[in-house]
Amino acid sequence: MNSERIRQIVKDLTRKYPEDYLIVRAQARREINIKLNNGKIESVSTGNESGMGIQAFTVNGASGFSSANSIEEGTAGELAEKAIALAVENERIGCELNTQIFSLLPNQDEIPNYAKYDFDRFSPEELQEKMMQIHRQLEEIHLENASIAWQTSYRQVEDFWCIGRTDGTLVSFFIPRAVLIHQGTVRQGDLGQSFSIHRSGMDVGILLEEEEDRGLQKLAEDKAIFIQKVCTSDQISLGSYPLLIDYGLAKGLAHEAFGHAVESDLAEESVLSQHGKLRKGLEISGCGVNITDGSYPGDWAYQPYSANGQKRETVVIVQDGILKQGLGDVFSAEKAGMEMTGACRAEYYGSVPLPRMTNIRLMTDTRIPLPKSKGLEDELRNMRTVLKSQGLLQKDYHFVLIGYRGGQVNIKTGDFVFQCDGAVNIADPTLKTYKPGIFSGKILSVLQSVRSSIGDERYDAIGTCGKAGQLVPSSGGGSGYILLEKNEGIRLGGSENER
Amino acid sequence: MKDNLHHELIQALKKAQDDSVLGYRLEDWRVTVSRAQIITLGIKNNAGGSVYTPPAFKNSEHADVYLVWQDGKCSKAKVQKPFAGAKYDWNRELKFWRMAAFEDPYSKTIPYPAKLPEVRIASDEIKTMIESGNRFIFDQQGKILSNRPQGAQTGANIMALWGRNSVFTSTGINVTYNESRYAVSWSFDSQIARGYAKRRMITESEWQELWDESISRYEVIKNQAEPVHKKTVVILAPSVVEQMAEQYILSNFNGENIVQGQSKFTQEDFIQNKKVFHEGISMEIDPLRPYQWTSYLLTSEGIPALYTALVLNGVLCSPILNAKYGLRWGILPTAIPYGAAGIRMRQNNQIPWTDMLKGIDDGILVLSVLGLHTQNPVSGSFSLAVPSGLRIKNGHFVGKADIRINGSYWDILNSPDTACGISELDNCPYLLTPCLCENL
Repeated sequence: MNSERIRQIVKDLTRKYPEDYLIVRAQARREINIKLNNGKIESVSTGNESGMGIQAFTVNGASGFSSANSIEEGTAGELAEKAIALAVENERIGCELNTQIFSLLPNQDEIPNYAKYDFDRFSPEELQEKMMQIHRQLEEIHLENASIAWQTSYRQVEDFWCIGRTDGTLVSFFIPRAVLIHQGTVRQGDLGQSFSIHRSGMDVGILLEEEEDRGLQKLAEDKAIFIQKVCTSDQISLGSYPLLIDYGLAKGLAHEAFGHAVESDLAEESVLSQHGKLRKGLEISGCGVNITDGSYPGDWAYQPYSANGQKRETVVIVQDGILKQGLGDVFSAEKAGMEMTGACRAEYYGSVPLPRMTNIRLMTDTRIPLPKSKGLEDELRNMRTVLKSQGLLQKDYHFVLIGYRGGQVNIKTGDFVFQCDGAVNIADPTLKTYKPGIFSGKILSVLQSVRSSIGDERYDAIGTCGKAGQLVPSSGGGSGYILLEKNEGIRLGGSENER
Repeated sequence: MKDNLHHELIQALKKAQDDSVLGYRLEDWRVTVSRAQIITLGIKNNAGGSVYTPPAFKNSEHADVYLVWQDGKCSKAKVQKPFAGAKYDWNRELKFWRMAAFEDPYSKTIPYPAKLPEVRIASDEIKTMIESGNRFIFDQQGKILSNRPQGAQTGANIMALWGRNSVFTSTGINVTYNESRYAVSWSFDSQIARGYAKRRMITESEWQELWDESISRYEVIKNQAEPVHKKTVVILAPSVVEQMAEQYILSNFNGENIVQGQSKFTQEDFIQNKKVFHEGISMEIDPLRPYQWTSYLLTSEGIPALYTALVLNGVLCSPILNAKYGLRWGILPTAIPYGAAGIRMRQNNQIPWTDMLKGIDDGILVLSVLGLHTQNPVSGSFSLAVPSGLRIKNGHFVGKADIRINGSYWDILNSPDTACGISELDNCPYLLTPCLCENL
């Protein structure tokens, strides 16, 4: 893609309408997707897409937006005029005005592509061969009395963004992303459950690493064995329990329970705000608990600049148990009593940006080391031994929740939920496995239970956040398995009536 | 829509049927062109046309290309207007597509021309609105803002689309048609939400009915009702029934998932017409209904719209099969639902929702759930928090209750106690279920 040419088109357009204020976003994307099913290639698709989105502002702060999947001078001019006309019409009917954008200082930057391997390092044919080899290794995994159907997918994307503003701002950056996912469906008789595991990075390097260390294959085997046990296991009785959650669930907890509730556009209705302002200084946990959000090169959710051209900052949301800061963008940070942190993101050039998370982390000051383990079961045994030796293992029930399956939050009521693949009771020396039960709680009480973390920190859990119908990559993790004390505000499991 | 990207592309494909590309000629091809103009407008935090929901106009044109080469390999790609006024080098593109070709024994799925059904999916009223200044949707935004309940944190979205699509194939399909869409939705305090989505504009009476229902429910939900009991009946609102169809029906009836062992059902289950639901329950895809959101003329693969029964009186009839999985299964492709709204559930003894409501002594209407997308689609079991539940006592809504529901989707559909209540306002029924609820 011709990044220089795109920068020039964006720059020219922002200068062409000096009477109006424009934010111009141009995006060019290349991608390849390969999917395999049970030993055969299901599909290979390729695409080159590009386009522009323009948000125009009247002098009084009314805005209008227009976009097209084309980057060329002629179309750009038409789009700008359309966006300006919509902004004028919007003002005429009495829309809410917002002049915050005029207060920004101009930015100029050009961030190169940090990918180690060029997008075209391997031809589509070569990628197919690599994928087939990696996928076929899964055939070596066998379960007693159960079958597994495997699906493997690989997605390699190279996004180039250029953002310009009438004030002279011109920033551009590349976002290279690649992900390799194995999805297994385990069936034992009439029972079945699916799961997925992934390896993510910036480029085709993730396939080369997998060829070298077979890390994902080992994980797939471990997980398949675990899921088979889950299929035939009992449901956890509804209740409150002492818990350990893995790094994927730590990401889910931080993302659903805190990240969304501190986004500046949601401050009007969030339980972490009062009268529309972030409740800074609110004590929401004991000492030693921290939540941060930031963008890191090489991460799945990397984005160095906001969709409005502001530098994305690392934000300490919770420090030592105290609510400190929110994810603020230029339009609503001040109103929400937050700092501007460049938090705006857009799904694609045709989306109107909103404050969003990138890589969110739940960390504790106290970390208990775990001996190196050979696999999941070994790790659970080590965890039991270590907790027992420190007097932290609870009697009867102490569940470890494994595998994040997604979550959801209602920031108005403060309710959040997330789901895992399954649970193991490490208070039971047989490490009994249980079916997953939804984890639900209240934003204002859940962090009170966090005590410490155990094992190695990991921050590369990935997902897709669907706020306002826009799908953007999200990521994060925890400073190990996070230890949560029993808390009546956190409920886990199926039905009370199944006890 | 003045650009004719596809003309050049089709000429290049026809040429590749005669002249080889990297040693291979094209045997067949399909080009699906989508062009759309969309206007959107929204309300966020009681503010109309705010900086997060400004009036927005979106214009797009792209083509999906599917190629079958003489050695049976196939290629899939997406094409749009070339960058910055440049011209496509189609020969270079074809070489890249050939390099990305993959082996697929079921690749030969380009259909021949067939008679298309008459389906009304385009409303000139929407075209006129998009082309003449969008006054209508600004008026609708104003109506929501001026009539919203006092004190309610209001959000809304309004969208109108006019599209012109084409399907061209090497087998002779050459179809170009118009389509339109219109959707409006609103929510109060993130608790009461309502919406309309069809291929025509909303009528005044439809608007009024939906609005009145939202307002009355919003008034009720302000009151805290008594907790649920063991005998409290759980009724799922149509929007929740649709979400459940998305999570459980779409994935488990998908032909690819069935063939690949990723569904609850097997091919054998369909061949043997296995009974999976209670005998009164049927499910279908009917894309022929006029102006429905999920109605269509032909699929993107060029298959004409047709009616497909998925389940008839509790018995499995058909999976959802695209051209490839139809060929692989050995039967013709079926209708495609294009989202859960394309699945219709019926029950032999279904009754109007208003009558059902009158007969409920102790119940709770589940208006929304948290976390449904995280549940296991194969096992069907669910455990969900309900942030918006309306208690029903003696046939009337009396207030809000915070509950969790637990159960199995498959058990609900297999239960003789499950009942459907239908409403003209909704595509899906209200579903009275035997699932369990407990207070939070």
